Amino acid sequence: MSLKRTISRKILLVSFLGFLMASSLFSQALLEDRNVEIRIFSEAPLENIEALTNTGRSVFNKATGEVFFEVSIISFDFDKKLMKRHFNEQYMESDKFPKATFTGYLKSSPTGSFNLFAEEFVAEGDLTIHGITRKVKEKARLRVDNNKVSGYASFKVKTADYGIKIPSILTRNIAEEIELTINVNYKEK
Amino acid sequence: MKKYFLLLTILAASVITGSKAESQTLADYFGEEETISAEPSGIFRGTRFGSGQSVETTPAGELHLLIQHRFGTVTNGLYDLFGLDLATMRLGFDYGVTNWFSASIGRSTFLKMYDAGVKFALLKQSDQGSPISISFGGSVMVNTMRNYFPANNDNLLQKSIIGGELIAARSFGAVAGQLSQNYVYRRFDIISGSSDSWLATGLGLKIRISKRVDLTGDYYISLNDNTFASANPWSFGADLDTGGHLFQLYFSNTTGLNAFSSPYLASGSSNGSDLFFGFNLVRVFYP
Repeated sequence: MSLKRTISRKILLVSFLGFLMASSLFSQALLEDRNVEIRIFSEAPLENIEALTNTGRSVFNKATGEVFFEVSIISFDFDKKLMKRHFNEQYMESDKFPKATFTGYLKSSPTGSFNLFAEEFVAEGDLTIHGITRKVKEKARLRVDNNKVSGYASFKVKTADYGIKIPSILTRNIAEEIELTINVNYKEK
Repeated sequence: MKKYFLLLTILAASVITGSKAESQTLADYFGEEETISAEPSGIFRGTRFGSGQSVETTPAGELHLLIQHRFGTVTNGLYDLFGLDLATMRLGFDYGVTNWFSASIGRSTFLKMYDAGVKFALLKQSDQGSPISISFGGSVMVNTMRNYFPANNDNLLQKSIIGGELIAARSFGAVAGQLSQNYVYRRFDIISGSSDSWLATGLGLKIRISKRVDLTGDYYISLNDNTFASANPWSFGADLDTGGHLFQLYFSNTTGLNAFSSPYLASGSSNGSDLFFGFNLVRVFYP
């Protein structure tokens, strides 16, 4: 065999290996959870309202701290069925905006670097609710257990910030700030 | 030396290309797989529509209080405040036993009539399921007026009226249509001295004009010769969904508020129909 052919074959082999290596390294860093628990809670003088879902989805890159969440608005369950109907039809307009998402990074220090084993983080990124996207910075916690990573965050959002209109007669029933609590348990793919 | 340098460059390039190939943004990770399918959400806002029933049953565990009014004819003018002085009323409760079966009781001031009924949801329209909703309802009404029936016919059976309807409806986004087959049978009519019945096809149309308001209209076509309806009953109006109450406002040519009285009181005169204003107030409780 000619020398040229041998060299070109070697190059091909090395490129292929390099490509494979990089791909597998990258996917090993991705963890997912397809049953993220999200709770929304409104505390108001006349009543407290709570809704839960456990079908949120999230993917997390444990090497870079990049994270993505999405949840289907119609998956939130309320005690009162009429409340769920009003939530979807009149407040969240879920036929127009079926999902809420968060895209961003977990940062474990002021310099913005990411260390999986730090316990306190700041989740920084774009939160999209009711079709409106805002930049947010909220505290979050992670716990690493072998190859399982679990996460927790709890923060408040203002309904007005996301274009959600509460009629003035209901201001004593529905709070202006809604508390969101997220529990996620990541596993490898 | 040159050879190895070249190899290294190629390796580096492949690594970068490899990682770029996988680094679609995380947002695309789940693709478009849709895991949540909407449960059937109902075509109409309430169990009543126009002068009659809608295809909806009461959701499980909900108790609906219905306060229904129909006023006198508006054409008499200011003297009786456009009919407000002369009102018939029905007070009733609907309860959702399951998501597919509900029961109702009520009392109308017209003929002091008590009614009890059931409604079964046979099919519910949903995105991945049935294209239409179908329900079947039946009710019994008893006229409890004193000195109304001749002595021979003053027993419970003779004073009873039964009604049934088969309703089908479909929602097309902001517009919904309803088709119903209605039947009412009266055991004893004091005028003819015998039984009589009314068979009719009902047509309903709903147009959603905002998050909380629907425009509504219905029309019933009498299919048999009967003593019930002097005109085909119709109504048009709007449903208003506020936070905790559903208001249904109507103009109609009938003042009836149950399966019997709706056609019975439908009127039409040669110089134009009488027009009656009415409203239903529905309040939802979770006992």
